[in-house]
Amino acid sequence: MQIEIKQVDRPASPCAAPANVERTWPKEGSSRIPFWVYSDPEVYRLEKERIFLGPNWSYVALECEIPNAGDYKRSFVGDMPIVVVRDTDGSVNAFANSCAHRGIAFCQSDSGNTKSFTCPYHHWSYDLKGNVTGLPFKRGYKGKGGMPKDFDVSEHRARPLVVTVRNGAVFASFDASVESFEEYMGPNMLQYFDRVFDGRRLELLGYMRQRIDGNWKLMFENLKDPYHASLLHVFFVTFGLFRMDAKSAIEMDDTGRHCAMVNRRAGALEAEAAREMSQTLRGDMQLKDTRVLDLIREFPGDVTAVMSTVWPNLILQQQSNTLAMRHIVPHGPGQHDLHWTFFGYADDTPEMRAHRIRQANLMGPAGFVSVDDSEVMVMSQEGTTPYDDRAGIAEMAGRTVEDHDHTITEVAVRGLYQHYRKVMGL
Amino acid sequence: MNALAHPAAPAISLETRFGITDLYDAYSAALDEGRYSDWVSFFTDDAVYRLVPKENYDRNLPIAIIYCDGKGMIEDRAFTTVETTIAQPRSLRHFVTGVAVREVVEGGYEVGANFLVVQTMLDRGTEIVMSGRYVDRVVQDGARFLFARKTCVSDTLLYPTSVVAPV
Repeated sequence: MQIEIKQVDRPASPCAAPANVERTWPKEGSSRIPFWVYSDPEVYRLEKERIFLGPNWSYVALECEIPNAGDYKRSFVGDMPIVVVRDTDGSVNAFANSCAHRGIAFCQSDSGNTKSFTCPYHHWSYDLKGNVTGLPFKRGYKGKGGMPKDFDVSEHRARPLVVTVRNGAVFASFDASVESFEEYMGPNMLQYFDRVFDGRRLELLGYMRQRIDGNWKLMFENLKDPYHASLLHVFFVTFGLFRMDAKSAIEMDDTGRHCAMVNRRAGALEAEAAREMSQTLRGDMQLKDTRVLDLIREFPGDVTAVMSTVWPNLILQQQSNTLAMRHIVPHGPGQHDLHWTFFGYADDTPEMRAHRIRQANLMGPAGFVSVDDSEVMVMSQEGTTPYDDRAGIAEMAGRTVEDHDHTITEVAVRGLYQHYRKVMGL
Repeated sequence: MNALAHPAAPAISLETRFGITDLYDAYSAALDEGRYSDWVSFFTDDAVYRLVPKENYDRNLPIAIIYCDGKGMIEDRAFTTVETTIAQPRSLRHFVTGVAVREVVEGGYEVGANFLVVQTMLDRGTEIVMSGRYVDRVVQDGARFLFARKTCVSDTLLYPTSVVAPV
């Protein structure tokens, strides 16, 4: 049957309605995600104010990147560039990479060692705490120019962040009222964090970076959504690294903002699971060199992968023996960067070190698994932005928020948006 | 000997020079045409392939975006590129310039070249995926030249969304 579409005469439209930035969350609650959260510039502005400038611990660096006094690296909290630096007393400082004078991002090297920082524009200088230590022509020249007499250098500095370090990982916050990192994580998420950061010295193995044309929350929620992993990721399912029929769990802190996806490798495949995954599972596939799949037991218990999402900007990756911090850097509502820092332990055997480098093929911008995710995020952005009057459904395994002992669930996506709504007042 | 070569260039025959240039052309053509099983055939059995961001290369950090230690892993990368990766459809094209033998070494040649990889997708203009430099070891196997080591050092550090295929 054909449906005839008739054109209807419409009166000429008067002027457009005023832009409406007031948004109302769908009445169904946190199991529905309105698509405007991925594209509305006003929502993005509010996220910056409430989340990235708010009382949260953002991941910024590993200590092994800045081992010596004066070592520094550029980093980000939200989209705000910062400098993380090792002070002469061994402590770690962080401050805005934005000159107190006119806002220049004065630190342009990605890493290095220095005694002080100097802005290239007007040569204002900074100590390792971000205090302004001097500026040229402060008193003018031959009685002309100079800053006003009451200008007090000590009142000016690069905007500081509070810093916390736990077993080699550095977190920072612009809001000094933030609770302790231990309270922030809660006991269960903290033990998953400590599982990798167990106090052993770390070795930096290298970086990967990608710019993804999708909202930053798509990346964060991807690691809270084990439902997709057994369907999207042909490599995972085919080679048994992650399968919905394996013994697994999804656990959160009390707020729902942090999450751990806990997995074991899959055993023999049952017919029912095979049927559900039939489009993904490719039983005929074999790798020529299976070393990339090797699992060297290094953590207690039989768990083989824990992917932790630490609100608001970190994914802590432990898949088999590949370890990485995935640092989310938002760039406006429609784009984010993902900075991967791969690491091992300083006491790794040469074989383990070589294995971690080999197994990194799973991850990153060209990873056997992670390419699928970055590609799908662009498709998400393409499909949600123009339909911002719609909402997504996150009702797999119910509409409430609690820990689950399986992965056929979107419970942690609901947990994320339950917390998000509270913080954002939506 | 090649009487026409630049005085600074190593002394190699024109035949060798053309053989190596042909290798790079055939290599790029295989990638541009998505013939990844053919891509595998340009490597020796114990070849090492790495695609490494310049920041790691310059700092001697060992992590690579793609790392294949031996032809088995190169075959696996070709296979996953075609069979398991879920990606938006696109055309990829390689522009390789300045192929030059840097040094004649025991059993082979140290060869360098610049590369530029661009992609074209349905709803996007043609964009640069990465630019960088090949730092390679080429060996002669009978009448053919093959890569015994191919290190793709990418100047580009921030890749647009994903790197869906080897370069």
